[in-house]
Amino acid sequence: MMRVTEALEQHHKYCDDTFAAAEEAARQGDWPACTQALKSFHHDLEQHFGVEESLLFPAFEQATGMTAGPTRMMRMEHVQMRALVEEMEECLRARDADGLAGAAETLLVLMQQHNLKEQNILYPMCDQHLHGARDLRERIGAALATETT
Amino acid sequence: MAALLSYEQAPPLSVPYRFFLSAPLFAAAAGLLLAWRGDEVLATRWSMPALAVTHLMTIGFLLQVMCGALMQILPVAVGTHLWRARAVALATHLGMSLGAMLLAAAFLLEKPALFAVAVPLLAGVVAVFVAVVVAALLRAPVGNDTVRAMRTAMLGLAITVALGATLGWSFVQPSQLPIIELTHLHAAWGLTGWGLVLLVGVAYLVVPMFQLTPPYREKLSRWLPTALAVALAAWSALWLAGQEARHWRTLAFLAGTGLVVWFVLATLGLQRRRRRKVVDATLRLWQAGMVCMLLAVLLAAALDSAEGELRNRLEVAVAILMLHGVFGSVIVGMLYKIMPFLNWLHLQQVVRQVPSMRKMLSDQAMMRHAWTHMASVVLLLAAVAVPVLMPVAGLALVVTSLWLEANVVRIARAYRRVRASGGSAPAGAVPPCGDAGGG
Repeated sequence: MMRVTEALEQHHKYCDDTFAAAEEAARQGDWPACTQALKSFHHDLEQHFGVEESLLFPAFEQATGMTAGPTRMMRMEHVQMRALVEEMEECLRARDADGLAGAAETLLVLMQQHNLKEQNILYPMCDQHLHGARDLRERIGAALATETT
Repeated sequence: MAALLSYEQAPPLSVPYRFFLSAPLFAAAAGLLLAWRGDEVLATRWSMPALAVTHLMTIGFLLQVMCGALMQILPVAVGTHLWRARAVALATHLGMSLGAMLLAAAFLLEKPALFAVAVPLLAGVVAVFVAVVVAALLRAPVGNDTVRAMRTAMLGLAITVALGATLGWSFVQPSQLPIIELTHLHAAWGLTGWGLVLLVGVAYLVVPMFQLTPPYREKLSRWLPTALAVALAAWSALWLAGQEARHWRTLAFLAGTGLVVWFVLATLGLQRRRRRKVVDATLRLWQAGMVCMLLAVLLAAALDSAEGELRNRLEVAVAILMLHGVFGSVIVGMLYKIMPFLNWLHLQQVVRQVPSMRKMLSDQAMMRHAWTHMASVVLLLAAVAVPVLMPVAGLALVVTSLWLEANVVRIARAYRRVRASGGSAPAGAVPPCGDAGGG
């Protein structure tokens, strides 16, 4: 049986790819391609955060009563990642390749350790507590599928 | 419940930084000793200066950084926190620093009284460290391949130090134990059972993470650390069984060699398939480390067929490749990724506009040092073949270690400066985009 968080885990890899495309375009000084790729990455990231913050986290908090636990930490890191994407966009507008590379590097490490914590700790907890929540699993899958196709 | 929530609790910055800031000085001391008494080191690995250099590198530099990094990484990667992290870090750091100095002095001066202090001190602090980490690993809410590798590595560290303490104590109280055989086991468990298994477990996490490579194949990530430990245990038992078991021992060694080659080729292959095309110091140092690992196992495989002076030289070359080429390179690469990020992460809590990681230390500064580090590995290897180069090679190790120290201090200072300034960029750095006023 598929896990509730399976689609989210897959989506992490998808976001990694669009991130790498944006970073690579900036590195090559291809600003039009970078604009496009960064826009697409920002969109994917917001979609991912949106699904977590509006579907997965509330369901987990309701099932466990833990509102000040891991989900609070994850929401906080979402705020930090959003700020870094904005910094990348500001650097893009200013055509500041070094600034963009610095923000991208920081975002990459933050994003990867965030994903690690989700995949190693939070998602397994969600799968355990929301086991059998087929409706939720389908809603998450549908929300991400409409965006990635 | 508390255990499930604990992964929020990253340790204070002082926990890893105290190790990172002092460790390069021990590598510099090892370089100085090589420049001064390199001829004795080259003559045989059993000479007292060779043992002093080895332990300055292994305990003073490598073990310290590994302990600091492990204390940092456990809460994030494994979702568990360490019991009294701050106090354990303080005690471990002081004990290891003092212990490494005393042990090096004990070898150089050949004073039993110094061994009598250094050996219990080091055994004691490592025992505390192992107990705290193992307790945290057993409480871990997740059981992934990294956790399994770290558990195996902690067993490797415990065996290494138990053997080392036994050997060290034989300088205080002469014993009937087979010292030569036990020394081989001590070195093999330190390099493989502890160092290599830990490196493999960390690679599972960071190789895909920093360069966006595909993950390691499940067969490799699940079985490699255990298989390495089993090959090592078999090899160890066969060492103690004596000369009759020589062929079986060679077989166990070849099995271990095969596993290491598998890991190296897998890592280089994954890095070649990375989705992130950026080339940075961390990537280059990991690649250099993998190439050195391949060379080290090939030379080690040739050891059995070499005799006399050639064998002595080969043994020194393997030690240089493993300690400075493999572990040294990977550690430098990891420090350049971990420290700027930790600065950024901790500054987020106290400052509004935090400069990005690259503003803590520029990419060019890291890359320049990375090349110098690799050049020092090559120079040290050249000195094994051409001993007259050893003073220069020793000084190259001093230079690259002090350079690392300077960079590590610069990163730590960037943290203080940004914190004190309330969020403007470190002196001499460009302010973050959209912050034209400098914060």
